[in-house]
Amino acid sequence: MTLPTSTSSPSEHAAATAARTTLDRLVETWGRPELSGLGPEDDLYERIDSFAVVELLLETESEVEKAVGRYVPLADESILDSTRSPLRRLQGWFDYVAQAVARG
Amino acid sequence: MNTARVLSLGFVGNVVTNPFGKVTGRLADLAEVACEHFPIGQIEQVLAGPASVDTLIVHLDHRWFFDVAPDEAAIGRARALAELVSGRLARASGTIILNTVPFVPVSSVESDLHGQLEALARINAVLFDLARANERVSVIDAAGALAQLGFANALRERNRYMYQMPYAPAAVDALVERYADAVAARLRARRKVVVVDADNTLWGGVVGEDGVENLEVDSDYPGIVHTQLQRQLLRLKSLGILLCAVTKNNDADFRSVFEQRAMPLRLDDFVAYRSNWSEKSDNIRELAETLNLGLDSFVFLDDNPFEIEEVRARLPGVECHLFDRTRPEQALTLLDGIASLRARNVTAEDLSKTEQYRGEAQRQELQRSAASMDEYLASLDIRLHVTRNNAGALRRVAQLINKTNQFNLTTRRYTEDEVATAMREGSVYAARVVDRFGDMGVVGVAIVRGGELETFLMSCRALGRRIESQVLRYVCQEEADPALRARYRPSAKNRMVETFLDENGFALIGSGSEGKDYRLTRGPDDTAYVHIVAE
Repeated sequence: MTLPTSTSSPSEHAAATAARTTLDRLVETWGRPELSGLGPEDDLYERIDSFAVVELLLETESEVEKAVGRYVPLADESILDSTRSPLRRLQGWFDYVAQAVARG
Repeated sequence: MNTARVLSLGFVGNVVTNPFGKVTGRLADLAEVACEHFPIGQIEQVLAGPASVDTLIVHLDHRWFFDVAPDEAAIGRARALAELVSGRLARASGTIILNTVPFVPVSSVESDLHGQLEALARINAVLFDLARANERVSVIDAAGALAQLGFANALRERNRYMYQMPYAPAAVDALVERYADAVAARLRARRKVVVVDADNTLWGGVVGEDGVENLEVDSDYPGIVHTQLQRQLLRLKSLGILLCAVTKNNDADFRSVFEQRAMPLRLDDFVAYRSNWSEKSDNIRELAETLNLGLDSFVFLDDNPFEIEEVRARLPGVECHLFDRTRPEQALTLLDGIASLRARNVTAEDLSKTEQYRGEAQRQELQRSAASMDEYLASLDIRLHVTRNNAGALRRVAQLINKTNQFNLTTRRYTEDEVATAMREGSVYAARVVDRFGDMGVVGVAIVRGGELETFLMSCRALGRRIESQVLRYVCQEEADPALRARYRPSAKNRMVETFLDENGFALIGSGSEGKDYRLTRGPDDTAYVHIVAE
């Protein structure tokens, strides 16, 4: 997996890194090693079910909270929307997390 | 890792249950666990349907019972849930785990808030009543687990409504731990004994150096820490745990603390103790022998890391915990946190077993102090109550027949029906032993049919008092058959009775690969110290 490219502040960078770390950990928990080879343009959404998406969101929120020192809600109606989900592009998910932190 | 046991876990709830799947990892040392998540919200369908799992975890947040505030209708929903659960238990095997409702009522009207709090308590009470009435139901305290984290940290309201998942990962972990404990309590044997150090554990200070009057065990800090520990130990005792003490002290010093200081624990709250200068591991091993329990039944508490390491290194089966009196916030949550002391419940039988262990320990102590075996046995005042063909003892007789391996002449197993048949066709003797330390219950069984002693067995906890010979003597007298036959059938575990008949007045008349056949000659000798009471 790639590092985020569109972050600007340290906290945004920390958040995106937390998102990546969380995904790495869950890939192991889920026993889905093939997901660790995804590139920044790959589609994560079509490879995991909605329960895994919820788990990813919850775990990422928790990891981001540890990284930036405050709770940042990531839930958004777009996440489970097959046309608009940031998970459609792996890099898009990392950017989404960083932007959520930037918005506060 | 022991993965011989296979367990299927099913989850259903009105929240996403997949994150709770982590419970499989927590149970890995107890079972190979297969996990299934039923569709979200299908609680009634799963409870009423054919789904078959060993343990069904039904996780419900408050929205299943009420929308915004707990009320009478919500209590009705809880009762409906209880009926569904009862219905499933009547139809299907397995256990069901429910949860207390994690919810903090709020209201702008104080009386309304009180009403909500009462209603919430009554919802939970419905679940507790269900668990009390049915051994196969557990209720984890989800509300308590989340309260310990703080509801603000545990709950994610946006996620609750957007994704049907209200819990932060830390809350999920806390709930997973509760679920694992509830499942594990049914899978593993509970440790039975807490062995506790005395100086700087039961009390502050060293009795041999500081003197009884200067020990810290009172209602002020730091004495309150030790007083509270004693109260906690007393509570564990009331929950079926045996208390023992090991201490490097002169015996008189140790005893004098209990004689001279007012403390929650009294000396006779301990089923046994060792106050001497031996290594603590040696004393704990001796206590295990006294109580006739395995070392894996023991938990050890001490303030000294050296003693903890000594016991841990030499007795790896013993679970050791450091009691740090300088950190009361940890020291006083220690006992509640020991998972191996947890149980689904404590039955009257468990509590009576505690008394039996206490009696056994007292017998052993008496034996240690007696000048001879005969003096010891005579002082026990043993009374043997023997019944013949007593239908009331049928269940216990069948249970004993099917679990006794060592002192068992033929290791022949019987169902309850077969025992009842033996009562009709011959004689089934049940021997109950009572002595000055208590009632051991029915511990011996003999079955005679067609002129043959086809079963003769004795529970191991009754051995060592020559009771077995007296039971056999009584049976021979009652049958009054001079040609009574008997057999020894060897098994992998009954070598201890290989010569029992030879030593008790039976003559060998033949032997082969299937064992040895005997005929009664003079029968067992009488002893003066076992009084037989025919009932």
